[in-house]
Amino acid sequence: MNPFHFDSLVWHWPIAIYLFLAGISAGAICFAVLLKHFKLGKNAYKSSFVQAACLLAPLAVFAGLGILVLDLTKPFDFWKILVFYNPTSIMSVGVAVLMIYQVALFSWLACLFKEPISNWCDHRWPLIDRILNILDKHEPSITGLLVMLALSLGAYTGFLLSALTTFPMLNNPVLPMLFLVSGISSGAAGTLLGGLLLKGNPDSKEVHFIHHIEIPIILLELVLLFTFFIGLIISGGQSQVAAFTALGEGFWGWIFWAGIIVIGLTLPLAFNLFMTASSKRKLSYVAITASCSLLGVLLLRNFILYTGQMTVA
Amino acid sequence: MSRLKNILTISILTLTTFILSPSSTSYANTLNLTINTNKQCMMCHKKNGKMFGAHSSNSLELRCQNCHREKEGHPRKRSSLIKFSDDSLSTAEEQTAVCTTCHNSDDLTEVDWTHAVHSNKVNCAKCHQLHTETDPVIAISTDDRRQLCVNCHESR
Amino acid sequence: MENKRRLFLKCACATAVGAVGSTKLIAAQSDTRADDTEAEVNYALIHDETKCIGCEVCVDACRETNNVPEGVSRLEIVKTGPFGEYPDQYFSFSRKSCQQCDGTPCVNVCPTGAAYKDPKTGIVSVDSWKCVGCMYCIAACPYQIRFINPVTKAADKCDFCKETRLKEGKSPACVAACPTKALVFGNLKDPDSEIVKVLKTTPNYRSKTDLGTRPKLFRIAAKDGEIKL
Repeated sequence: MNPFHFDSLVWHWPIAIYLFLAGISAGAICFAVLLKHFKLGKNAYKSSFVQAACLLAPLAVFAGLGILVLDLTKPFDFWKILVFYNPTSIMSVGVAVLMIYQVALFSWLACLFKEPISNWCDHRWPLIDRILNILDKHEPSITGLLVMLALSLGAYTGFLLSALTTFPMLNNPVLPMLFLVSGISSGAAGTLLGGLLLKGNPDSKEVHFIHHIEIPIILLELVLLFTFFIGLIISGGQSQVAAFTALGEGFWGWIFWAGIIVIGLTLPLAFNLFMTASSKRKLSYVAITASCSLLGVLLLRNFILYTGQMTVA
Repeated sequence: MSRLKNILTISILTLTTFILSPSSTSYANTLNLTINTNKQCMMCHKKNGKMFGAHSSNSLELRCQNCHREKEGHPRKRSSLIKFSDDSLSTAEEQTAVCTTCHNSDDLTEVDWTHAVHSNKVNCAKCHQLHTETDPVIAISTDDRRQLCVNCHESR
Repeated sequence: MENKRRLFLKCACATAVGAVGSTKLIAAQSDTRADDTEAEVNYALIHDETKCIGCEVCVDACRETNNVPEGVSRLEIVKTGPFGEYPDQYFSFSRKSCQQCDGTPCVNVCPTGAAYKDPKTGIVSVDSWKCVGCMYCIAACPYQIRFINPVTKAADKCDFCKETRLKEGKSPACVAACPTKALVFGNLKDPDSEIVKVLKTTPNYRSKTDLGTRPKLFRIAAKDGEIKL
């Protein structure tokens, strides 16, 4: 069986990239919110890491949606998804969530960058000032809504696949949780890498804060992966076949053990623990850890998407 | 010396004409097939006995008797002759057995799955014709082939 | 800070209530939908595998009637075998086409409603104009019978010839073409129809019913194949 072409394959890698980007966006904005509320406060917008997260979140969502639209067999008809809704379709609900998420995202960004925006406008357009004031008044609600939408978006990427009864490996209740958690960890990694690129200090309190959260998240991801596959194996039947096909020898087996478990999870965990112990963070350490994490999540999405479609119920 | 040259050129010329002539046995050539010089059969079966299909190739060294069996008392008295058709005195299984002495049943199934299910129920001549130059069932169109199934299987 | 936290909590509660409410609404909607299917017609099909000879006349008839392009097909006959020892060998044939499920995985996942179940006939069809080609239905169909039509670029599959022969009051192309009458098409709601009579008198099975699809392609099992563990 060719790892990228087999009979039961319906969705190819662009979908995996889309799921990856949606996860990154959700994760990055969660970290931006957390950094603002627990570490930086009013001046959060000055931090390169918050800036990176705020750039990454909308860009990743746009890129993801772009890939999704281009992957349709009728890309010019994509507007029909926005016009016609089907409440039983996870994809339809997900598109609705994505739309509201983008509104909440830009509202929150406006609140965050209120000061630089109003300075730049210099009271030339009273409408903008008025909008900013209204948004500022409702900032807590917007923040709450945004966090919940981001979490929904992260989980949606998993629900999208777990709704497929055809494939026992994808039709799995742990999948949305797994994708949500790995999405958050990819958001953290993206924020760190972006912040470093924007000349952020690798030993700043933002990095310490993110790393502090990253350790339990990686551990949780390992637990979820374990639950995911043990669950499949003990349910027997085609689920068991699916799990063994995915984890066994061959291309995807290597991707899982070497790419996801070792590079994507174990190395970042080890680096994080080492950095916590040695307390001093170097740019190269932070960058390598974040890159490994990102690569791991990207591989995980592709691994689940492809191996999931290999075994039919 | 010049004679040797002449012989050489003539033989080369004949060789090239042989090579250039179409590979499929043309009608003119099939008339000289040894299988059709079988006096025992051709005395009477001049018209309906001639054989032009793949099985007539001289290289196979087949005789009529290889498939149809020995003449014995034919046509007046008993013989072990086999006729390959629906109105044959031999059963379909007996007719098929003659073909499968050379044609391995597994190979036949591999070429076309229908061989496996018809072998002891339908005689080979129902679909195949060996005396004609080409067997019409070999290059049959999908539509005609399906019609062939329908011809027998149609339930009324 | 205290105030903000309170607002945050309020908002969270509101969203949670909203989410619960909307799921209730969806559940209520699907209930009413189930009522809608209480029409007088609910078409189904029987494939009698004991009669099927694997000639694939049905496949050609379908292609011709519904203008299905080469390279894709709404209907396939899957052949397994040969079983047994030569010369007593046999094959078994299974029909691979839309099972016209009552619990429709494809309709449930379609984001635009292009995949729908016709409430009047119970036939699952595709509105090729509404279809955007996300291929969610193709992945969601456990029978893997959906495909993208290379001409319309929309998802396509068997619709019991709803737009062609059924409109003219004829039976589907495959049913009419079958030389051995291995296909029985009819209305499950009509107790006098041939299909109901056959289903009541002949043991039959359906594929992958454990997935909750409630398929309406009934199969009459032929001679058993090999024993597989």
